[in-house]
Amino acid sequence: MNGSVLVVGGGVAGIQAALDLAEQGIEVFLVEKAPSIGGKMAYLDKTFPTLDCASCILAPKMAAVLRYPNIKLLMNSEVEDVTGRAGNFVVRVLKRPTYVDWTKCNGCGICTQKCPVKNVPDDYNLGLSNRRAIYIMFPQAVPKKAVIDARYCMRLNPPEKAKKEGKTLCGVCERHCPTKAIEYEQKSEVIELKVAAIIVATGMELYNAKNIPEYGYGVYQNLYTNLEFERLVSATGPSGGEILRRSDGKHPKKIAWIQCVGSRDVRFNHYCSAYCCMAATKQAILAKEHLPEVQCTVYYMDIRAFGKGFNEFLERAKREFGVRYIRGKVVRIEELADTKNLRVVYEDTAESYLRVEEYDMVVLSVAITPNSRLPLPVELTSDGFVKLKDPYLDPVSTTVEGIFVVGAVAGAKDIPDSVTEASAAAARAALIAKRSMAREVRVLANGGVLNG
Amino acid sequence: MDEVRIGVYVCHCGFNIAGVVDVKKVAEYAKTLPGVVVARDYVFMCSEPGQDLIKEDIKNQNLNRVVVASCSPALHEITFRTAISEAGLNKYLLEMANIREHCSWVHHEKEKATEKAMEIVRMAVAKARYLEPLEELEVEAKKSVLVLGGGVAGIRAALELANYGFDVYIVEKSPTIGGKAALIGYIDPKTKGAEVVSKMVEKIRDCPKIQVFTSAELVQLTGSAGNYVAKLRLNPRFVNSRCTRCGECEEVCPIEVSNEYNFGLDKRKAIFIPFKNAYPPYYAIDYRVCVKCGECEKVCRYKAINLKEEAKIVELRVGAVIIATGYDPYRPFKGEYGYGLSPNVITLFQLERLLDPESPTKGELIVGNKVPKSLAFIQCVGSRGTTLGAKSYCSRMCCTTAINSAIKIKEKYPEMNVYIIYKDIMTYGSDESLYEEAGKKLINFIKFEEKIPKVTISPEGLFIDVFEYTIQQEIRIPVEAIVLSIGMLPPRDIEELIAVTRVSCGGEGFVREAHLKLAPVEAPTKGIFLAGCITGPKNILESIRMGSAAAAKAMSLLSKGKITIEPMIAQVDEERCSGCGICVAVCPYSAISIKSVNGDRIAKVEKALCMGCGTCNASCPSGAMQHLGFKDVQLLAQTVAALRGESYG
Amino acid sequence: MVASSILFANPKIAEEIIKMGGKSLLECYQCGSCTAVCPITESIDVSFRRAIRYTQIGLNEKILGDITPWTCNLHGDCTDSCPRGASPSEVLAAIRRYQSGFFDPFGVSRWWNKTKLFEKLILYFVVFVISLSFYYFYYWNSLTGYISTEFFAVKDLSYPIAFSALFASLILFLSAKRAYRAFGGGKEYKVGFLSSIIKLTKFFIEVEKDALKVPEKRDRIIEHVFILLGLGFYTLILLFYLFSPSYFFIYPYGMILKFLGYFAAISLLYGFSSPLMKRLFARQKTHWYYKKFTHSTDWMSLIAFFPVALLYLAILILNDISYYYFSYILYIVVLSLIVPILLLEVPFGKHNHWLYKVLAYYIAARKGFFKEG
Repeated sequence: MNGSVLVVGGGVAGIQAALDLAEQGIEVFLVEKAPSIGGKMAYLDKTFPTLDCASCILAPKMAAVLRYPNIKLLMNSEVEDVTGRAGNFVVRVLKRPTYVDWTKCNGCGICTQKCPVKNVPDDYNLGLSNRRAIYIMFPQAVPKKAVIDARYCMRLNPPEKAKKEGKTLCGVCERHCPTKAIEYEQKSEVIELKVAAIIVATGMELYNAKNIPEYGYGVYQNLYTNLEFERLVSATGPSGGEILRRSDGKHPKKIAWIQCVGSRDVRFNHYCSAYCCMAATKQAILAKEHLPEVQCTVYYMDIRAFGKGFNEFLERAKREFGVRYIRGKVVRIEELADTKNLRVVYEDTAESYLRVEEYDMVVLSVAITPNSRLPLPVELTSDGFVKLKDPYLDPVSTTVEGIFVVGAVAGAKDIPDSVTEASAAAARAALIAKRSMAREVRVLANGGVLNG
Repeated sequence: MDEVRIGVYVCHCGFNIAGVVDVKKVAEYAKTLPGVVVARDYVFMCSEPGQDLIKEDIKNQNLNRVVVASCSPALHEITFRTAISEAGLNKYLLEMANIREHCSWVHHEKEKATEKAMEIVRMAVAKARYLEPLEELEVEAKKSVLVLGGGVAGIRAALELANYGFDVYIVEKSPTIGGKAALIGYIDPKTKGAEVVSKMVEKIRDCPKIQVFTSAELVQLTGSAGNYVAKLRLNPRFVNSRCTRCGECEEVCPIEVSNEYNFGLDKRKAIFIPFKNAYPPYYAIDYRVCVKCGECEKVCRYKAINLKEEAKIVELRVGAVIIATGYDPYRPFKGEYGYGLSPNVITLFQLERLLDPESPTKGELIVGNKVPKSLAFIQCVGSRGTTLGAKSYCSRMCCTTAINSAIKIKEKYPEMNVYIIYKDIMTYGSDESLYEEAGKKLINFIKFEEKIPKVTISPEGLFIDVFEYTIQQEIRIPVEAIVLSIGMLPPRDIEELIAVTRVSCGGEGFVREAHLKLAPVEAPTKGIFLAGCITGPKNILESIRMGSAAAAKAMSLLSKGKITIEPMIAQVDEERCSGCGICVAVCPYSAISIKSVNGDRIAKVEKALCMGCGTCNASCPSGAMQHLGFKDVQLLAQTVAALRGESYG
Repeated sequence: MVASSILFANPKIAEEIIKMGGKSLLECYQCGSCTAVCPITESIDVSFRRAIRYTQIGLNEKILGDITPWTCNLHGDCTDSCPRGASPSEVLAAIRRYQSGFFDPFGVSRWWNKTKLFEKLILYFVVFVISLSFYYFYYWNSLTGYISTEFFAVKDLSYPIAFSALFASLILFLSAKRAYRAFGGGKEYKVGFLSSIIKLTKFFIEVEKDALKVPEKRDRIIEHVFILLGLGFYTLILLFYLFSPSYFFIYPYGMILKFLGYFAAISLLYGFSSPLMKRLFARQKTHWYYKKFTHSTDWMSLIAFFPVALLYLAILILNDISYYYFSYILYIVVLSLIVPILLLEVPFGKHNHWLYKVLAYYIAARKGFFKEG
């Protein structure tokens, strides 16, 4: 029997690595902390520079994951601890309860329509819309299974009063489930895996823009991060693809993008996040396509149009769509009390004077931060990315033999670079896996460590 | 043909379809269609119970065609094919009707959407009546790979493949492997290009699985994924492995040409060693310039030179091909920023050579006889549409390389004034730290935008006139040397490459990948992979990673020793074919040839080569060329059904 | 002669600015944060970023007449928010030093601003010793007679000081004239004298009012105000001492002068010792202003005055407790200390910035650089 490989993170890099490994008949454990694979790419509306619909190109890959019987999905799970060495890692994975028996759930979605708790902020729409306490992460989710958010479920987390009285509430989803898949008693479990190699593809999160007080993110209503804006323009987003202001639900007439929010700034992150210039350009084009009358402005310092087709895309945005690019860093955003419009303060470096301009909507191109706080013995760089052993001679290896790293957790990068690395790492891991011994799955504790 | 018994299965997809389309009504309607025996609807056809429903019907109702009305075939066609084949039906007797992406997701009016869904189902049923069972082909796959290009990407790919136990052949057109990375002084502040390359080359030398062909060219590539036949021409090197690199031959050689390994900084002889760590490590004679005077042969004590050597043709059988032929540096025209008019205007690549301790100047930055007191880099030369004739793309590596070199220069000559005249600094990702470092090293950055800098060469020295963007002021910078940060061009011989390997080319002149985002190392043709700058500008690290990835992809294609070929390909009706040969001309994969069968000229499709694009089908004047799975009769039936015609037959 | 519109870049200027304390000059990547975040730019149309850019490239024609650096009131918001961690306020100070070097007709300050702290201290000490020995050898014998008296008549002591003061005034006058011309004074005035003064006053109150709310900024403003008041009163009293000491004995002038003397002494002592102490004993919490401005002229401006302030207070106390002998000796020491200040620090060092700043602001106001409303 072949050894198996653990892929941590089910974003586009993790999916690619898992598929490449599975193609060679190697058993893969794909651990993902969310209830669906897809990662950040699943949040995107379109991808630059081709303006391909992101989910249309990602969904077949996600669906392919299900077709391989040798890919074992460990959703809602996180790696807790890794011991051992190349060829013989012992990984403890904490699997959080979903409160739904996924072997029975067929993703019909009836429960998500019937659940009476309606005001749960939807993570997939980054809190821009609400969902129920039982939910399927997004329509194209893989696996398409329901999950109960225990924090909001009336049954699992009843109000104080009911708790005292010892009443059991609700149970609506259980009643309506056609396959009787609801399991309120599910507990988190720790799964011990023996794997030959590990591929780290935990990707990135957006930097917390609330750390930058002068922009007032989280305070001003019509201020969005670029990922939020991506949801806003997406057909599967909170407003079905309509760009509407949070404050009054009207279409904006002027939108500004602010680049380098939290990147290229010694106060926050030294590195350049590499994706934001093109993402802002793409979003400006999307905004123009949605609302032809809208005026789009991008505040930048250096437009980094370095990839294949990027510069042409940038020129198109300028010429064809009339997106305005102003060189200058915005230092402050102020909200107008009456209209909830936003005033941005900056120096137009071409004109050399202080300018204040009013916008209906402002989008922050927020930096990325790597999800590198992992219980893995890998070394990190000073910027917090996973360190490569020797980028030139051993391109995807970490400082620990048998652990490989791909995607944005090893440095800010875009989709093709992540996919390229994923394939490279998969081949490396396959080599170790093929050489090594069998694996063993053992459920260690049933109902031990964590609840909810 | 047997009696057609079709089963139609309409999927709710939860609320995805059922929310807009009245699925019950669609199923009821399907029952009325000719040939339909059974029609059902279910919440999730793709789920296990849904699939079981189909399987049972096939067995109980003796179905011989299945239509599934659900989502895009891209998602679940394979799922349902597998399901019906498990029930004993040929898996190509399935037709998908996409009523989700094509209907429910894009419409809101329930009645009209239902009507459209019914039409889609009607078309699918009409086509299904004419479906035929098809058989997949399996061909043997050779566990060997041809790597075109011996640069870092190619070497990396070869090393990975050898690691997996594959036989690898590296084909390099110059007399040494190592590529341009070996010629870059410093690729990051601590790493010398030559060092990295020589470490990689060392591994190649020790690896018995890798065979290196230098001074070689791929002249023909036939066959298909798993079974390519590559014909190489090995140009004569005239020097064999007895060479001890004593160098006496070089001294007597009368021919001197510009040294392309120092980017024209100095001259080399016709017999030469490209650079110190060149591999294979012996002299080579440039067959294009050698006049065969025989001086070297006379002087060689080791009998290592044989001027009678001739070009050889070698045939290799490989399973896959990795194209990693790299790029050419942009060639500035004479007078572009003063290039060619003054010895003090050099290119970034020449500067990289000067910074290398192995360079003709021993690492001293000597430009036009002396170390300049001030030096300016001009960025975006030949990139980003800056000048006339410049490419529209950004060459990705020049900003980082220029800044890195500038830092190196400042470390060595702290007194030198270094300017970088740029449009946008593209130190993306962690390279931003170099830009930050540059400020601390007192490197001066000057930004221009639309108006390009002008270089004036006068007896007093060089002047660069720049319209400084951030002060909106024309300024004049007196410098003693100018470095043009030239970008990347597609390799000069890319057209031959395209002709031989049948890859296609994007608008910017580089090879096009199968998918820009999700399949960056695969060519559209199965079995051909891409690595390095052949798909567009990359830096060394990215090229190396791409080499690894291309190797991985080649391995996963060939590792089973067999390759399955989709049966949905072109087929010739030999009765109808007139042998006109139009299809041969239009086929982008060279899969069709004209064969003589009993004296008749008839087109023949090489099944393993055909990718099923349908071009031949469309161009065939006699209708002899048919696309299996999309035969004329099937498509016409579908079309007639779409036009509400009753039937077609 | 047709003036060429093309300006020549001169890399030497950037080097000089770095030597004059603008260490982070070339770290700037021209984002414009400094201009946008500055409270000054809300009222005046200036671009600090552009002023920094001129020096990065080295456009002398643009730098010398630029009033922009002088409008900086050292609020420090730019340094707080610089994404490169550079210090625009420090760079602007260096640009001011560079400009002063050209305003000074003999170019001494250009050299003075580039010397190191120990070189300055040595020079100071040398001048101090010369003036002290001058007092000793020239006056000592003839002066011993005064010591036993109740008060020392010191008119004779005034010559070295008077000479130094005259020298300082002359240099300052010539420098101011050159600065006025460089700033474009007298040309293209758009606003009347009076209204520009009103505007300036309003602007200062407006701008500094906000700054007073921030503790770190408040400290610096208070220090500056104390120094300014202290120097003013001290000069006044010194003039009285030197030229009409009799007023010290006339009631109530004597009392007032004494009170003013104490006030000046304490003001000066606070104004100079507070920043000096913060600099010397900089801690984690100490504001970057006291850590970043480590150029020799910054240190020297404090070091030169601190002993004067300290000894002055001592003289006042000694006089009050009638230790005239000691106060007399200290007085001579103070005078000897003032000589190098007047010969070096005031005309060539940092303290001429009061003059240029006033000029720059005045010209900016007259030229209508202030935004309406």
